[in-house]
Amino acid sequence: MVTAGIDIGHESVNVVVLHDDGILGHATLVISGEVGAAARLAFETTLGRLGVARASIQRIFATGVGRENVTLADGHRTQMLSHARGAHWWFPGARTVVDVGAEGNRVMRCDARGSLTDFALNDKCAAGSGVFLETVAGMLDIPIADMGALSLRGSSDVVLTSTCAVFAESEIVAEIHRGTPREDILRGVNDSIVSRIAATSRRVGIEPDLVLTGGVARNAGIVQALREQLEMDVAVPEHPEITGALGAALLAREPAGAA
Amino acid sequence: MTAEAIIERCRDLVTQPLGAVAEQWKTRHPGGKVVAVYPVWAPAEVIHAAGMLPLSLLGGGTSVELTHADARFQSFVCSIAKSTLELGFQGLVKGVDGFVYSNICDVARNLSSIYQRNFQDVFVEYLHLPQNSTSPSVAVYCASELRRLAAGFEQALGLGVTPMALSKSIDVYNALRARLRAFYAFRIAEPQKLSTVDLYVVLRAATLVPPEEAIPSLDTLLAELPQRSARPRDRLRVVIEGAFCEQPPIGLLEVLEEAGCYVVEDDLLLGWRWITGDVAGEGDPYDRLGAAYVNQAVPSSTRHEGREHRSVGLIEKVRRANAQAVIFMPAKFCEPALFDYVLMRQGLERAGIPHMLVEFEEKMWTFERTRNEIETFVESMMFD
Amino acid sequence: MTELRRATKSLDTVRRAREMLGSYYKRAERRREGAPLAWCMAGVPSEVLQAFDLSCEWPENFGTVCAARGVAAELCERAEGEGYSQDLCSYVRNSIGYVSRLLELGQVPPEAPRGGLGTATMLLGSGALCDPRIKWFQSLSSQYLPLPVFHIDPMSPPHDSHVDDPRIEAHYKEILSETLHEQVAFLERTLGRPMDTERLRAALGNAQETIALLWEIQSLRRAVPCPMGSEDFFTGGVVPLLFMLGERDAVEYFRCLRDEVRDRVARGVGVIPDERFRLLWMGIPPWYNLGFFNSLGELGAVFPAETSYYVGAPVEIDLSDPLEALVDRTWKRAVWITRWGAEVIPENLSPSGFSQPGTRLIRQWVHDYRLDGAVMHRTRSCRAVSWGQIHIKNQLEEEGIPSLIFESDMADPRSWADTIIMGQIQGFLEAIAAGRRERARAS
Repeated sequence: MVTAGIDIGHESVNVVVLHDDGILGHATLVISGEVGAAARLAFETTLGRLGVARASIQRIFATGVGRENVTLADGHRTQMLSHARGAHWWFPGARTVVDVGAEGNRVMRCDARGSLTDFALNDKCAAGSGVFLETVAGMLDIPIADMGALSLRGSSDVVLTSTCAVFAESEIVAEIHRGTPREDILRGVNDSIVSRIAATSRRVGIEPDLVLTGGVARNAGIVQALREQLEMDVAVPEHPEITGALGAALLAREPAGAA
Repeated sequence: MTAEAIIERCRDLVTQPLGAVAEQWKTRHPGGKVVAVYPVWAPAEVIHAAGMLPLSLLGGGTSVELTHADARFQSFVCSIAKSTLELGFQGLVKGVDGFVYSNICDVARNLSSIYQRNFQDVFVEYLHLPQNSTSPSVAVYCASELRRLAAGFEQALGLGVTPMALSKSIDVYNALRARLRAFYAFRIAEPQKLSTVDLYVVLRAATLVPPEEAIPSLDTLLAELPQRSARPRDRLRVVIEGAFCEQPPIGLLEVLEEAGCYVVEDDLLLGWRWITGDVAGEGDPYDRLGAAYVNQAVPSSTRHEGREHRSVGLIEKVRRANAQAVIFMPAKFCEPALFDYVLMRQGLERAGIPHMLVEFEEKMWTFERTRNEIETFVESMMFD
Repeated sequence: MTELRRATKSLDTVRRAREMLGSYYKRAERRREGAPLAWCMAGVPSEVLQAFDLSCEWPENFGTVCAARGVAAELCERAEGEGYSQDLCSYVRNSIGYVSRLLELGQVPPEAPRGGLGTATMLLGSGALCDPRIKWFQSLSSQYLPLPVFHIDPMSPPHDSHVDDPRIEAHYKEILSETLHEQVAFLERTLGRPMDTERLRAALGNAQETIALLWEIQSLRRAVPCPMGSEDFFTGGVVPLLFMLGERDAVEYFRCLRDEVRDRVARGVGVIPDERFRLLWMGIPPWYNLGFFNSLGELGAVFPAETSYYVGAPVEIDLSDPLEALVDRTWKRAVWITRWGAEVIPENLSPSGFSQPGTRLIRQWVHDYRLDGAVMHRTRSCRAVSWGQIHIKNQLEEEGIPSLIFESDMADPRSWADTIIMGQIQGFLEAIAAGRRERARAS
């Protein structure tokens, strides 16, 4: 059976094509705009790149924001279900999945089958999110891709206390004016983001194995901070940003039916 | 009037500013007075016995911008307190002659004195309701508070309450509550024939008109609704718990249903359904009502409950409603709800009843995130 | 970078509090395994507990100690992990986190300061002062410590009540008397012995002396320079006032404190050498950073008065029926506060004798204490005490002084944003100084 999963993200669309032996292929396309059209474009582009015919795909599930408007999909599932399932496929021992997305963080608990048993979303604001990291990158004039490695060189002198992203930004400005090294600030930012994640996680409990998914998982500094704060190992998939789409493709295989 | 027409009229009534509702009633009852009651428990009987119209005071929902009220409150305070004050500042309760608050929480009790300070031409009273359920004198004290309320009405609004009038009002509200219970029982039995949105607008409308008007409309609905043809759908039967004061926006109730739920029990407008059966006893009606407040009450998060674990009442509700899960839906910053959530959750875990928590604000108008959470929960129960 | 620090005390008596108030500070050493021990809330009158010779612990005070010792954050986090929202009172979260740890370990957690809290055999709550109290011990006993709970339920009259009307007085005193009698009955049942009326009488007599001494101290603090600041009150006054009212040691302590303050006034000794700003403190202090007051001292600011834990004028009571005397004291005090303007403190009737001052009284203080401004702590997890600050701020503006409201929390240090807060404080003080210069120029 060949299925496909489409994950509508903040600025991009991820597509995964899955068959019985594993992932046939995947693609991440930076597309935004009307969800139905974006999904169609991403899907068709992916099929084109993989040389896969549309007719060979038996079922398509969509996830992400606006998933119910992806008309070419046969059904849809929420991001939480999809991420848990996707992370579990890569790491069958996974029982806790953390996804740091653009707008916030989510923590999912799953069972031995990868079925969602509990979840929590971050509470009050943006200070635990990808968008916040982007803002910080802008303030420090650092490419996002470099943030992780740079932060690993930082000391733990900087502590940001604000629960609010706006106040946290003021604190960062104060540190910049003080001449604090950027790597120290970044480390403080990571610690702050991770403490929000830890707070969200505590609401559902953390059971190993812990998997981190979503684009932010590529930030080695965040991964390290998570390891330190939760005092446990953190597994990161090779392609963390496709976890949702993978999960959707997996869910599409199941006979429980389309929504 | 047909059921559809009644529901439509209710829908219209609940969107009107409270002041307009008051004025409309007054044009039909010249010289009449109107008293609005803030959540949770509404001693509507006492107001009614004075010949006045009791109305539910439920904040501004999505309809008011907090232009004046926001500056007077800390940020970490529930929205209903702010919007209730805002209604006053924007003149949207003009026509209401009196306001009754009680000690459901620190925010509500302080709101009472803010109201007094800012609107000195209306009557504002604060009921200090007892917390200890087991003390013998508590019902007596409660009855005294109600007498104090009645005395206040007399002094400020010139309308007295006789014991006979109060007894009659108790009878009338007994009859109203019996209809409301029947309404809820109907939704448990055939939720496909009565959406939660419809139930809610009917219930809320019943707190905005004299009970003598509400009762026949409810009777019509109860007769006609079973005739509706609607197939039961494969949906998750849920109890929603936590919205006993600040009210969720209609859009949120719609999201719940669209996300795949039948809401079969809730605590919306709990205070108007407070007394679980007919008010018991004979004799002095104040004593009867005070005792009923203490002993015939629905379980509530705004009280100290030492008699049984907080989750007992909820689990009974779940079983009675044949529900599959509980969705805790406290208003943001609602201390009583957030405290009791933990106890209720603990009980549900022991009983093996699935549950989730989602906070709301009355003035929400986008529901993407909440819809996501609820859908996830429904999906995990139905498909996973 | 946060800079949380303990307070530097300026009064000798306060520095010696631990040795002078041994019955409180050394209670961990005196614990006897299996002996009756009550966990109590403020609002429960300590005199009644003394009349039963009952050992007590005060979880909300424990919250302040955990905050000062830097362990409150982790205990609060633990409670949050168990489902308690971060919006809820941090004293409650701290105590729940502690109890959860205690049960997990089967013994006092090693991180608990001062030997933690002794093993409770009962919980004594009170509805006075704020509403989370009615939920607190309900939660604690339902979920963690299934112990007998008794909760007194004192009802405060609405602030616009005619408190001089004997019917109003009777209405509230009746339920107050009933609830206190019930507490006594509960204790007699639970402990299996009657209350010692003589001890209650003696305790109430001691309490009268303490209250009179405190009243005098508060008066002495009007002096310029101010002889005692809020930091000394918080570190050295709160414990004997809230948790030892009625004990002989507390009387002696306050006498000693009064003498020292009187002496300082006579010698013109102030808390800080160069007093530039005399400020009112409003709200619960940030217990994890009482050094904040010293930081402000370095900027020339001193706090001769605070609204927190306010007792007010001593009232006359007849000790021939001690329990009724307690009822009488509670009522008379509530009436006194009400007359001074209780519109922002609906819960001013408290058997343990303290609440907050009335609005008119605070306005009076501007003149009595020669205040230049007010600093108000808007505590995120305490709505009860942070309420009314905006109203008081407006009232103080009418008296010609500005106020600063800053936000953090009383026991949860995670909410302290040092850069932001100190920035606001500095700006505030500069504004006061600038205002003075303007007035000097104008006149």
